[in-house]
Amino acid sequence: MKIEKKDLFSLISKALNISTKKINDKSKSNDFEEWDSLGQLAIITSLDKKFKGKLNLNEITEVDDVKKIIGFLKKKKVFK
Amino acid sequence: MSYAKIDEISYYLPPVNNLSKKNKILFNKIYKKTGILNTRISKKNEDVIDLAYSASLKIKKKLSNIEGVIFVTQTPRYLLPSCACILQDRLKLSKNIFAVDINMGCSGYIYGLSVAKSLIESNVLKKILLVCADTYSKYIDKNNNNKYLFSDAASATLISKSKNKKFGNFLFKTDGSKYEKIIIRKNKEGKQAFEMDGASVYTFTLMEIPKILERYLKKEKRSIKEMKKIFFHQASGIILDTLERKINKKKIVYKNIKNIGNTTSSSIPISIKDALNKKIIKKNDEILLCGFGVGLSWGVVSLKI
Repeated sequence: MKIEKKDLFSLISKALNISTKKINDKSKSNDFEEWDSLGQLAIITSLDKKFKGKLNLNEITEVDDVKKIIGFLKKKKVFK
Repeated sequence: MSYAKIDEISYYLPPVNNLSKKNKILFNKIYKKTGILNTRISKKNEDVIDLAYSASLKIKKKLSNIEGVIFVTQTPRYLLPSCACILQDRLKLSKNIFAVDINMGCSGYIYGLSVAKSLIESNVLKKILLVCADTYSKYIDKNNNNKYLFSDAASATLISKSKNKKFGNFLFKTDGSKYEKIIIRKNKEGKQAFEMDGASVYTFTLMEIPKILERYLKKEKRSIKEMKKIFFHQASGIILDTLERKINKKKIVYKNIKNIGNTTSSSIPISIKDALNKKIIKKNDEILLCGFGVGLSWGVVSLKI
């Protein structure tokens, strides 16, 4: 299973309960009040659900930046 | 052959913190994500010994012939002497007693049970008081959001000899490479302060806890269907919900975090006691206990309550 950029943006926005339009390649946790430590947990949960628990999320070091999340997904070869 | 069993559990919680009343909007937002509506904070002049004493007093009548005190804490009154020694005196227990502290956090109850069981089953001691107590609030800065998660608490568990086998085997795991993920160390002001990398601890839990349960049940040749309830460490609502989703068996995970918060090593015994009181489980039911957290450290055991 692979995820496209637009689906990842949608996943992050749903997890944070903000508009998808607000998410782009450069989005960072500092940009949104909703992207706090609890927001990070919501993103991790959504990624785990999306990949049905098959993604080793222990290897993701930080979930506070779209670029870092994409980098992790590319490393795991699940980013289109 | 000697066996060990849990005889009695009691606990003590300081009064409700009423954080929800102090900032309703913020707290409702936090509640949605953490599942915690209230935490418990000990008084300024109260510490783990006081909380442990209050928890133990509730089973005072059964403490007359205690031969050992195991005190699980990571927020002791002193670096030395151990809290177990101070509690022996405070409870006016016999001086002919084994007393030791175990420095473990959220997996501490599983560690305490394993030590108590081993001492009883190897005929070293007959009856042990296992106390878990922590006061993380003393180390959590007012600007640190972890104050919405953690509660101060103490539990007291009486473990004694049994004619029948009650405990399954124990399984433990440790990953010291992640020791900084949950830590109390000096901050910039030189004050001992609590720090937690919530996202890392969450991913660790999500990845490792389902694995250890699977490994344990396979090793023990047991099935999750044989368990009446699973008592996880009550870390947060989101963690308990995620573990329930991963296990894929509804209503098997016991949750009581809402008005109690994360009570570290006491969360499992508090949950068991609550479940017994509410008749959700009864004597001789088979249950699975799993503690995880600071270390990082995690452990699991099955037992007949």
